[in-house]
Amino acid sequence: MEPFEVLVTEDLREMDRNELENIFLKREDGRILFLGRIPLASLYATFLANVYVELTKIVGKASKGLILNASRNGGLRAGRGIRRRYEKRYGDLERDKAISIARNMVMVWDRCFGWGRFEFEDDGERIRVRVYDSFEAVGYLKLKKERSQQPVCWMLLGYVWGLLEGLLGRKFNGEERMCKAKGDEYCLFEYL
Amino acid sequence: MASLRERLEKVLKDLKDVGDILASAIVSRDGLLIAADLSPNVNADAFAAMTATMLGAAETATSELGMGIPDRVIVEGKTGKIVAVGAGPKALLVVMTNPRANLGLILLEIGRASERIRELLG
Repeated sequence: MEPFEVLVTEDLREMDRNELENIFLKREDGRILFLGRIPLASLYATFLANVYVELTKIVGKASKGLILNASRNGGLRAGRGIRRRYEKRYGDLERDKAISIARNMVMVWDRCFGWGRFEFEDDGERIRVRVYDSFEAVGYLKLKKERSQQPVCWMLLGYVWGLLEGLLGRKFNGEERMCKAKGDEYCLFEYL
Repeated sequence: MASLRERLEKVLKDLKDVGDILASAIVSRDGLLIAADLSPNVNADAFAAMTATMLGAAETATSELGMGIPDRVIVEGKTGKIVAVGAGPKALLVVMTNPRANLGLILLEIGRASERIRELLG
């Protein structure tokens, strides 16, 4: 099966890191491709945290809105892209299937991307994504060496937000309710 | 009793009644939309992030020059004006007017509205 087919038809929760990496990541001439065509790049976890710090020096607190908005748009494009590709091949994308694809994406990030350890929960109304050791929170703590007063996982909050909106074809309200950078055990994103 | 959101929306509605005000929004300092009276064609979330950035960058620039915090940012174009003012420590108020609007009167009303928003948000 090709990677996209695995993403939209299988339950990836039982697969280990090696299996998922073999399916979803292709190494070619020093490049890493996700789903066979999307280039990936590894960065230091502190890099993004430092970008946020520098951006905040210029535009103040508005840096959060900028990053969140850009990440949400990125997630939205990805979600819509998967939705279009799915519908072209399999017909209408129902809510349950869209949720299982979102859960699978999160599993890939968890096992292959180094973004943190993810747990995905959907009760039909509210979607909660728990992230242990989110790379944004870990990067912040490593860079600043002190706790934050506010949640700091702007990219993850926004990207998951947009992905859900694109896959499910509806608007959500999203918020990071807990953050490891603030001293919480894990980061908790809630989408209603 | 009206919810906080309804009371904030009432502030925006009252502003519109002044005339010459085409659209307005209350935005958190970190660029998230709180309440808005905008055309459906406007991406309200992006607009919120942009206006908070505009005011945030202006504040940084004036502080850097030792000029303190600006009272407001006014952007004038051929088809309208955008006025952004702080509304307490948590929010800002952004208003779009038609190009020939009497700014004196509008700034007075924006000042009152931003004070009301500051009180409501505590």
